[in-house]
Amino acid sequence: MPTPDVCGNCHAKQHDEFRDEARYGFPSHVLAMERAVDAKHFVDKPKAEVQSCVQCHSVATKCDSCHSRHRFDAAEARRPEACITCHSGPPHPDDETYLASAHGKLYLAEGDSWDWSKPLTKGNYKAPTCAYCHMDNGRHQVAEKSLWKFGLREINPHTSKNQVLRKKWVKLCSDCHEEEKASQWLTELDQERKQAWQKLYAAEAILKNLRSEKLLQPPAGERPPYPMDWLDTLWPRERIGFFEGQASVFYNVSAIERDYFEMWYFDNLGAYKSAAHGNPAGVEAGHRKMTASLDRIETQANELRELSQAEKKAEITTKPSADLWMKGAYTDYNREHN
Amino acid sequence: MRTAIAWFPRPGSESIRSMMDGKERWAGGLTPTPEARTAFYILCMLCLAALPTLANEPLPPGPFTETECITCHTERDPNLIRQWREGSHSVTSGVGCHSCHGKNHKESAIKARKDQICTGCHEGAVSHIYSTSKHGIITRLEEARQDWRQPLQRGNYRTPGCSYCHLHNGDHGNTMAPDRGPETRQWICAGCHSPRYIREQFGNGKRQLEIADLKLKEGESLIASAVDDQAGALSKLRKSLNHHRHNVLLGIGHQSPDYQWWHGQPALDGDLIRIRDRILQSSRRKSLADNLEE
Repeated sequence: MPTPDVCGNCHAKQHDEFRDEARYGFPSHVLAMERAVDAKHFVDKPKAEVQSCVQCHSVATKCDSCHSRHRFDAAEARRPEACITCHSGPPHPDDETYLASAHGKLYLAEGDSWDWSKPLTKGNYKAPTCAYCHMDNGRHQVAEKSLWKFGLREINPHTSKNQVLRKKWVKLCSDCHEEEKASQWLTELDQERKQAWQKLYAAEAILKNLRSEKLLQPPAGERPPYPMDWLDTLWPRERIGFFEGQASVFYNVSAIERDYFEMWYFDNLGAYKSAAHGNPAGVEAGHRKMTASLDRIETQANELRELSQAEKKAEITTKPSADLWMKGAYTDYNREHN
Repeated sequence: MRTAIAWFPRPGSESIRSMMDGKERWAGGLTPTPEARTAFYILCMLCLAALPTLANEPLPPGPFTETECITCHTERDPNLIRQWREGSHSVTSGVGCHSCHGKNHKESAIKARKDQICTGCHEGAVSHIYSTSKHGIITRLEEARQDWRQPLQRGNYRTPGCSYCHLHNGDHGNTMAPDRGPETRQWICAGCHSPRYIREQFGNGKRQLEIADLKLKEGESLIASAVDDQAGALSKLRKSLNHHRHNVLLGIGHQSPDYQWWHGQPALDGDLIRIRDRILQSSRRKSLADNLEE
């Protein structure tokens, strides 16, 4: 299979743009492989398990993730289908959210009859596709306009840098829509994000309180470790939220932490993608799920507190047998073989 | 028919040329006049011209009943009918000829080769798994320019649709069924991919499924160690484990990274966490209750 360098011999502009994407930081295509192999769970889970990651993250190292063999066709890569093999599933349901939007419905209904050999510029398509907005004019720096950073963490949408990006989005939308309308949609997205982060921070606060009260059972030191993380061994600590690296901590945690991970990584990102792609039903569903998760986390936290108070009152400490969390067919294998 | 054969020259003993000269006797003991010979050869030409038409004897358009389909096709290709009877789409499954081919002859094979006919029944996760895979999306994009009249064989399709792999070469059993063995599957993949690549994919898939099985085993033994079913919670989690393990399998088979990973491995991790949490909480509550009794 030809490498990007071989393709770049002729398609120098696209190749250079693709490499240049690195300066926009994560998340981006060109840094996707680094993102994968640097992740704690990639390093610390059995290789056979995480090899599935490479199927998508290898986008950084080849052109045929989108320009699929053996056509290597620009026309094919312009269609949403080129993206959805990787951009689907709970943390990034780009396929569902786009296809449920007015843009996506139009594409589904009429897309087969459009002339896909035309470049991604104003006037060539009746409705925008993934590439029309994210790679307008065929620019290969997909992350260039990345403003909300995948919805993974809260950002200030009004920094001077983000003001520039907002203008770019508004200009893009105004290929078809009125500028005012486009600005209004961006504001709606800001509001949606604000509401989402209120819920997420509320859940994070509950978890962090439980951590301070030492109510997260079992505590970090008594869980199967990530064998390669020496810091974790020296200073075991429950990781809560984006900045503590919770994106990697979804398997050797307590149930309530896992609930928060799912609320943040699945419900929240689903809501964000729906809001960004114009799928109101998806926004509603995402927020409904987040509210339900928050309620569940709250209830669980209360139960943990009551349980611990009752134990204190009765002056008993029920230590889970170490085997419960540290032993098992997979847990043992992971400890010994990754 | 026998009379017609008797009129043909016997190979070896009499050459066609000598018969044309009228010097040799024709088989059957008659010496035809030149006019008769001319008439005979005109007849020959007419028959030859008609042959292709006879071979493609115009099919009755239908509609046909299931019994009619089976009766006629058992005569023509008994093997195909046997494959269907012995496969998972047999009579007992409720899937008959009509389900995929419709009731008429026109375009009945083309119709059955396309993915939509399969996904009409095989909807939900399994169809999503395939339709978001590279095979699935390219098949969709190629649908308009693909020549669907071509048999499901090597070289005829850019990417495999459902039928290309599962009914390869028109085999009406399931060519991807586990009991067909890895050789069949490898041979089908090898129509497009290199042996090295196939070996790699099969190896990866096998190892990945082994990991999922370890998780399943871990979950099962945890559930077995629990004192009670926790008002059905553990039974539910056992179901969830099996469901997610199945996602891994289907994700591997259809090359869907999303189902191997998000709907598979980390989902299994979640099940294990919740099983453990249930067991831990119930043991804490139990010691509390025991303590109160004392």
